Amino acid sequence: MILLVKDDPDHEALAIRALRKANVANEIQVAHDGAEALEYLNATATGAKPLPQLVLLDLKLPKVDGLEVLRSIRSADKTALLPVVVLTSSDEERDIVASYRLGVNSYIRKPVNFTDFAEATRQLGMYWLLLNQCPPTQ
Amino acid sequence: MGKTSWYRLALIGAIAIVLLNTWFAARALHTLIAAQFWESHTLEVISQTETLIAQVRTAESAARGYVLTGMDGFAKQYATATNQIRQSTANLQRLTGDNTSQQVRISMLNTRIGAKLSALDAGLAVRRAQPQGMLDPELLGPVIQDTPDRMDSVQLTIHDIEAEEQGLLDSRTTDATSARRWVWGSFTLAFVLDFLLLVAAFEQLVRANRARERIEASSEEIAGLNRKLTQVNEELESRVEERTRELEASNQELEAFSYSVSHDLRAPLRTIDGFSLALEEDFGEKLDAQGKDYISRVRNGVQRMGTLIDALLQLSRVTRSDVQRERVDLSQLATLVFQEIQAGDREREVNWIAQPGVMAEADPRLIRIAFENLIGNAMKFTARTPGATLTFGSGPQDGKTVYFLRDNGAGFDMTYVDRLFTAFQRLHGEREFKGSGIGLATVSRIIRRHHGSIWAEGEPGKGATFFFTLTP
Repeated sequence: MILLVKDDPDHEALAIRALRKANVANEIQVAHDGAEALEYLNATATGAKPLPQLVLLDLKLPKVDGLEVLRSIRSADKTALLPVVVLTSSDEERDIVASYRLGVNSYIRKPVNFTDFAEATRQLGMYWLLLNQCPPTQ
Repeated sequence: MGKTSWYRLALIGAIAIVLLNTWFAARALHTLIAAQFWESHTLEVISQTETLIAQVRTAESAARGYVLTGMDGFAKQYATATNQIRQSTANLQRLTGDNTSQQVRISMLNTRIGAKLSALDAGLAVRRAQPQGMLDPELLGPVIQDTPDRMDSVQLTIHDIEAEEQGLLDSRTTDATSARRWVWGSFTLAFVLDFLLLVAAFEQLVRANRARERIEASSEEIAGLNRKLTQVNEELESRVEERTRELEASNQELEAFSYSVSHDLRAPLRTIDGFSLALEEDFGEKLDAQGKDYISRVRNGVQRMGTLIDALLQLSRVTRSDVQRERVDLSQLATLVFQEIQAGDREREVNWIAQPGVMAEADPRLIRIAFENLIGNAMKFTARTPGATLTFGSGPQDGKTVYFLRDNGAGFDMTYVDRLFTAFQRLHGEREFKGSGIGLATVSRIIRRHHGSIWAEGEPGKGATFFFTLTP
C-alpha cells in the first residue's frame, strides 16, 4: 500500500495515473494535507489502518507541511523506519538539506515535463516496491 | 622651543636676577660699612689730635707753673702730660699708618714736640737746680722765648694733620652718603625687581590656572562632543540594524517569492503537461495529426516556461547567496561542466580545449553556475558549426588575470554587445536558438558578486569570446 500525500487533485490524478501506467498494482491511499496524513499514520499505530509500504510526500501542504509530517513519522516508533520519498517541485537547497536531516529516504524533484515525471514515477515504484528491501514491520 | 624649556629659562633668569640683586645689595652694604668705618676712623684721628693739642698745652702750662713756683705738683703734672703725649703720638702714628703724607707730618710733629719738650725740660732743670727764689731770666730764656713759637709750630703741624683728616672726613662722609644712597638704591631695586618677579610669577600662576580651567572646560566640551558622537553612532548603529532588518525582511520576502515561484508556478505547468500527455496517450486514436501537433505545441510552451522559471530562480538565488571564496581549479571545473553538458547530448561532437591548471580564488558553486551558463551557451551557438571547438584559458591583462571561453559558433554583432548581459535580452530569435535570455545576466551577476568584470567579443559567423575577471 502506498500513502500519497498531495493537496492538488490534478497532481493526485496524474500521479496515480503514472503509477498505474508503471504497473504499480498496490493500493494507493491519498491524504490531501499534512493533518490528514498524520491522522492516517496515527490510525496505523492502533492497528486500525494498515501501515503503508511507501510514503510519497509533497513538501508544500496545507495545515501541516511536509517536513513536519516527516518529523512526526521519524519520531513515532511504529513509523520510524518507514520508507519516505519526498516528491516535490522545489529544488531549494534548504528543502533538500532539511529533508535529509529529518531522515528522508529519497528526494525527487518533479520535472515539469510529464514524460520525465512519468518515467521518474515508474522508476520510483519499481525501486521502492520491488527492488528495495523494506525493514520488517513492527 | 618647547613651553617647558621656556619655563626653565624663565626660572633660571629669575634666580639670576635675585642673586644679582642680593650681590648688589650686599656689596653696597659692604661699601657703606667700610665708608662708615673710615668715617669713624677719621673722627678718631681728629679727636686724637685734639687730645694731643690739649696735652701739649697741659704739659706747657705745667712746665711754666713749675718754673714759676717750683712746686712738685706741677712737675708731676708735667711728667703725666709728657707720658700722655708720647702715648697719643704713638696712637696717632698707628692710626694714620695707612696715610703716608700724614706719617710725614706726624714724624715732623714728633720732632717739634720733642724740641718743645726739650726746651721745657731745660726750663725744669733750671728750676730744679735752684728750688727757691727768683730765677735768672737769662737761664729761662730758651723756655720762655721759645715757647710761643715752639708751641705754635706744634700747633701748626697738628692743625695740618687735622686739616688733612678733615678733608678725608669730608670725602669719606661723601663716600658714606653715596654708599648709603647705593644701599637704598640697590635695596629698592632688589625689592622692585623681586616684587616684579613675584607679580610675574603670580601672573603666570593665574594664567596657568586659567589655562587649566580652559583645558578643563574644553575637555568637558570634548566629552560632550564625544557623548554626542557616541549617541549619533548609536543612532547610526540602530539605523543600520533597522536597515539590516528591513533588508533581511525584504530578502526573506524575496526568498518566499522565489520559493513560491519554484513551487506554485511549476505546479500548474506540470498539470497542463501531464494532462496534455494523458490526452495524447489515452485519446491519441481520436486525434488527427493537427490535434497531435497542437498538443505537442502546448507541451513545448510548458517546457519553455519551465526552463524560464528555473533560469529566473537561478538568477535570484545567485543574488541571494553569499560569496565564499576558496581556491578553485577553474580548468577542472570547466571541463567537468562541459562533460556533463556533453553527456546530455551524446549525438554531438564538440572539441574541448582547456588550458590546464588555471586557478582562482572564487566561490566554486557560483562559478559552476557561471560555467554551466557560459558553456551551455557556447554549446548552443555551435550547434550548427561543423568542427565545433570550445576553448577555455587565461592570460594577464593590465596586471590582472583574465579568463576566457571562446567558441567558433554563430557569434554576434558587436553593435548589440551592450544588450548581451541584460536579462530577457536575446540577440538570436527563439526559432534560431532556444534560450531564456537570463543565462548571461546570471553569469554577469556572479562575476559582479566576485567584484570582477565581464565582457565579450564576437563576429557573426566566426564565434564569440567571453572574458571575465574575478578580482576588482
